[in-house]
Amino acid sequence: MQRRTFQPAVPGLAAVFLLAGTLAACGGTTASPSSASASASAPSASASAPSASASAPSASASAAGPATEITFWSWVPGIQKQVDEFNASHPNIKVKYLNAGAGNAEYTALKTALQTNTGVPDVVQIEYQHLPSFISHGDLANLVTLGANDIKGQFVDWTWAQVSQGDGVYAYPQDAGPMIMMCNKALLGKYSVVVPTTWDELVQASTKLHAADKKVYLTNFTADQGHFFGLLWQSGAKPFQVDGQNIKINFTSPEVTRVAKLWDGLLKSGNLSPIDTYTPDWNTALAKQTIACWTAGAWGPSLIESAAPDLKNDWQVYQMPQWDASKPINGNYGGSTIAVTKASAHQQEAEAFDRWLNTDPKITLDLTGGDANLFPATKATLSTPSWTDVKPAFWGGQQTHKVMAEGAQQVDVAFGWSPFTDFVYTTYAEELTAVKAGTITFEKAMQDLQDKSTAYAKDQGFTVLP
Amino acid sequence: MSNVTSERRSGGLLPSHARPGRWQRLGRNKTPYLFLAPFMIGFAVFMIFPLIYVLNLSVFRTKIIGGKTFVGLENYVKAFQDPSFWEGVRNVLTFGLIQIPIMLGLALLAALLLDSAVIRRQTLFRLGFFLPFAVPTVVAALMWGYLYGQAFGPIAQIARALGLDPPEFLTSGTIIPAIANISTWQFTGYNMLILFAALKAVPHELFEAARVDGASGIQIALRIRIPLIAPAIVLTGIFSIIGTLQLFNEPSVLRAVAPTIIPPNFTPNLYVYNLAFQNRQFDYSAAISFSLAAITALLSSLVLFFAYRRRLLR
Repeated sequence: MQRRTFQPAVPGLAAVFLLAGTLAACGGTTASPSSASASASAPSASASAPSASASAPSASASAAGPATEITFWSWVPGIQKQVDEFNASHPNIKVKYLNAGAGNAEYTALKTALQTNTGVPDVVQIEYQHLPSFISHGDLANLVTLGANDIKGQFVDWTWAQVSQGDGVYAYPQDAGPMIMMCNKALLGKYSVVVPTTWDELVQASTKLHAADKKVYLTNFTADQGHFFGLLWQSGAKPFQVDGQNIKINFTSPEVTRVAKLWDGLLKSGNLSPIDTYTPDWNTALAKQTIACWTAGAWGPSLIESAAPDLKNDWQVYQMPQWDASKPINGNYGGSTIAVTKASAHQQEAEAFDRWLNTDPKITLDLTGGDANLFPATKATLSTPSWTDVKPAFWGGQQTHKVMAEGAQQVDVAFGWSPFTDFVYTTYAEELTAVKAGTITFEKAMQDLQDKSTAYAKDQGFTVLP
Repeated sequence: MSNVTSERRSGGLLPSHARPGRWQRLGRNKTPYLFLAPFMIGFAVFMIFPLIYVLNLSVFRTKIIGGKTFVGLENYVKAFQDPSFWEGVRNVLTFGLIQIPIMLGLALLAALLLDSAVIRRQTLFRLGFFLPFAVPTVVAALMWGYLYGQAFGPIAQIARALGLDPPEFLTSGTIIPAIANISTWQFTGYNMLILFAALKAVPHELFEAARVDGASGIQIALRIRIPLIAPAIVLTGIFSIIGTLQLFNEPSVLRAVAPTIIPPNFTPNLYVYNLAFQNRQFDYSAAISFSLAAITALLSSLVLFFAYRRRLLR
């Protein structure tokens, strides 16, 4: 997840414009920065559509000599460099790279291409939460027949689970967003509040901090879907379990309910800032030190750095607060996979590029830096000293990558998404507005999500298992 | 006998060769069609065809498992039972009930003042009132989003400088008035211009006669001018109702600033947009679009009926 390019706004008019620009670039995804990640660097999907159809996968590589031409869609900033390296070292394959927009913008273009069966890319970037939708539609090639299982062991287990369904493997993990908590340690210290390690401690800390200074809050309320599902994941919840045409939906399990009750309690206590994450107000609050902590994916630090550049050395990265400190679990928030389409005429070459891009030690390490700034999904890169021992300047000499790498190992393997994440996300946003207005509780919102998702799944032809 | 022949003759006054043939008639009449053609082609391509396309979409349902099937009116039945849709309709109706009377009241007042001799430098005022209409809606919403901002907005900053709690504009309870304020700011000038033009068309002899009879300025306004421009007022009313039901830009832009306050179904149009381009339920969103059009047509007809009730029932 290249959150770095999700421009945090400077307080002022520019902030609103920036946010609106982000909005436009993502085709109206408002509360979902998980799909808005690299929007700043993404030209609109429509602008790139013609060139996409011009390079429809076909064997017409006559002009390019004997090399097989494949197309690759991704919105990772600066990935052209890696594509060039591949083309230089693999003369018989020529990868044509295209930025077809970030997140939803790309999916809209991809859906259109799939529907009309023209200009479908051979290799394409898809976020974890949207992968099951494309798998269910039968859009993606099963990589097992191309030898996917040979490289299974190179990826962090839970990322592999995310790209697998049944016996099939439908993409390779590119990057991840294991959750972390970032806190303004200096601010907490000023009011002698200890950084919470459990959710109970977080509730107590938020009470203590807000009591000490009425303007200061430990953290804020957010409607962001990726964040919420990360928290469910981190609680060990399994809201969706999909097996072909069968689906189990569970938003009423104890693991979900404890998350809902936690936020219900925090909302009711008044110790929670009402400012939503990623808004200009939120950026201002971080800079003015009225919000002390933020739980996010491992891409989060760059947003803090640009929101509060004056607070160098004040902030630190921590593990997520736990439900049971003796059995730490983590969740994931963000990250993408690289899939090969079923429509591709050159699946073998496409898989070869996909495999190289996501397992080559030099490439995966290169992608952690530069404009891409990806969080690695391979075990090798996660333990490479040149990555783990980095001490980013802003974070007071802390080896932040080490903390994140430890968190990445604790992500629950069993969490899965539904094949209709779009619907779930929209419904969640609707429900959360009512929660914020105080007309329903968070717990009731979960019941609604259960009912509405169940109805939708049946509507879409799935068999909903109890 | 002679009568009969004369009748026959008169019946055949026009020699048969002089009668316009079918082709000739068309030739003589085709000029207006030629003039109409550019509009009619545009109308067919950009109005009729999309409408048929959307109507066609709305009677199918595409399932993830099972594909596309014809479902007849099922999507419409679902739409009319969909609380998310009705919540949006309720929001825009609440919005309309607050915003339309205020906006039209202000527009009427401004038009009456401009038309009377009370105000000097009329052109300046007319331009001033009209100027917000020239600002694109998205820009207007962005601008107000900034003005409303809690941490960074100028109103909040002034309040804080004075040691007051900054007023909250973007909360669940205040979001509708906040958006109504933007629309009022933007469209009052436009409506004023329509009413002002209607007032200009009223013969001034009527006012002079009334003044001679001793009517005050207010009496003239209430008894003569407003009744005479009633059709224009009804027109602005209907435009406003249509505009209200199609509310989209302002909430869509403000969602960036207040994502927890404005849900994806805040207005029916926003709901349609999110259903189609987020959930990819193109078929269902098409049905909602048509349902919204039906509600708009119904409301507009109701307003027309009540406005011209007397004339219709006579």
